[in-house]
Amino acid sequence: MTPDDNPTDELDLDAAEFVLGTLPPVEQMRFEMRLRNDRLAQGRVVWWQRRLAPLLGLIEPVEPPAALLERIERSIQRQGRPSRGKVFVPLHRRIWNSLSLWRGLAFGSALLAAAFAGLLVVRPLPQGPGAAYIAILDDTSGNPMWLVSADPAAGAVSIDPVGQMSDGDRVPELWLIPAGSPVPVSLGVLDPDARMAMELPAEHMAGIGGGAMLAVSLEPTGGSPTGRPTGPVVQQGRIVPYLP
Amino acid sequence: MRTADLTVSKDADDSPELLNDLLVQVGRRDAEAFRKLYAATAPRLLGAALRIVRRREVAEDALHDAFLRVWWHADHYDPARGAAIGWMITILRNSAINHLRKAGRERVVASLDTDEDDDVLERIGAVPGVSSADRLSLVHCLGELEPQHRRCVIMAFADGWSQEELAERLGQPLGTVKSWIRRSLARLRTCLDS
Repeated sequence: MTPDDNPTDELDLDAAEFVLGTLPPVEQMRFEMRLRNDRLAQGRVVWWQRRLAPLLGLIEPVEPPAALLERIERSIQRQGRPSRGKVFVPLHRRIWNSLSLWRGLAFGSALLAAAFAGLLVVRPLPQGPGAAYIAILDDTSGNPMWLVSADPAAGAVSIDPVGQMSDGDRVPELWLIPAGSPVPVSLGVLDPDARMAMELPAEHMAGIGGGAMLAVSLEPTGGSPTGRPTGPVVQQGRIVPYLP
Repeated sequence: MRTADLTVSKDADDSPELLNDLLVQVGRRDAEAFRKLYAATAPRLLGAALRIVRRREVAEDALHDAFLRVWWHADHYDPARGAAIGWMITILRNSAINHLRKAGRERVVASLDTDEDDDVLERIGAVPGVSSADRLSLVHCLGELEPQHRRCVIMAFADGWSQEELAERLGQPLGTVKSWIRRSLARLRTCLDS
């Protein structure tokens, strides 16, 4: 352990790396999610943005062609809604529409969080081009708790905890609810403190497209005794195609 | 400690407030303010994008996307919470890195010599929207870092290198590069705070 291990320090260094651009992809996504509603994290990002901005002075300016501003203005008009907008118009509609789970970012909670909307990019997961589906499981207040990515070709699913769970003596269990099927399929008990990788049998993998859901219920140690959720469903999210 | 011999160049606008004000006006959908903000920052930001993506047309696409984001998100910008230029740089760099990924990861590798540390600090020139006080403190604090650590931080920012790319480029294990970056940032914070 290093002296940097206290949480505030870690947060600050994550914020610094976020601005520097060196966070690994999953850490980056996790931090971006945290930025949605963590004012402390937002404050540290702003501090580092200001402090590192002078590095731009190392870079030779390059005069843009005159046509570029016109092109930008045309794009704005094409995207735009009439009049002044409080309307959130995402640039990468395809990504944003597919990641409709990011709704909290655009329409939810504090405007402050939305100020960071412009910063958010969706980056490839470590599985690279294979990561074809993604789900963000929110709790009932809309806070992201799990990031699930699935690579159907490899039959691989990975699950990253991105929130804090306090669930006493019960354990989180992950359920797949295929589209059109009311019957949840257990994908296993989750570890709230560590990234998990699992292999998904082909018949289950086939069920993740087309609007399937993932949900987490709280179960007794060892998981549901019945093979169906027995405790409250505390988090859920829709599986959407990942379109980089 | 090194003393930086830096003068604010005449053509650089040293005032963060001016850009902050422009961005606030852009948030009110003021097209004229948008053009002014673009004129003040686009050359620098295009340079930054070009350095990351290495191809002129891709850099212009990245700048295009970044300014669309600036336009649509400016209404959430709060000048009390930070400098406009810092916000715009993050948007631009994210946009450039996205384009780089889309275009494939092959890159012409820059010569390290251009960032040899002997003169790199002197080359940190004035930037519109960055106060000279902020610039001088960063130059001073970067000067306190180990040369190789400093190079890591600068390459990550300027070239958009990931940790893996830095490790490969510098011929160091990934863990070493990770810890150089964390340690450098911790030292920078302490120094910049004082």
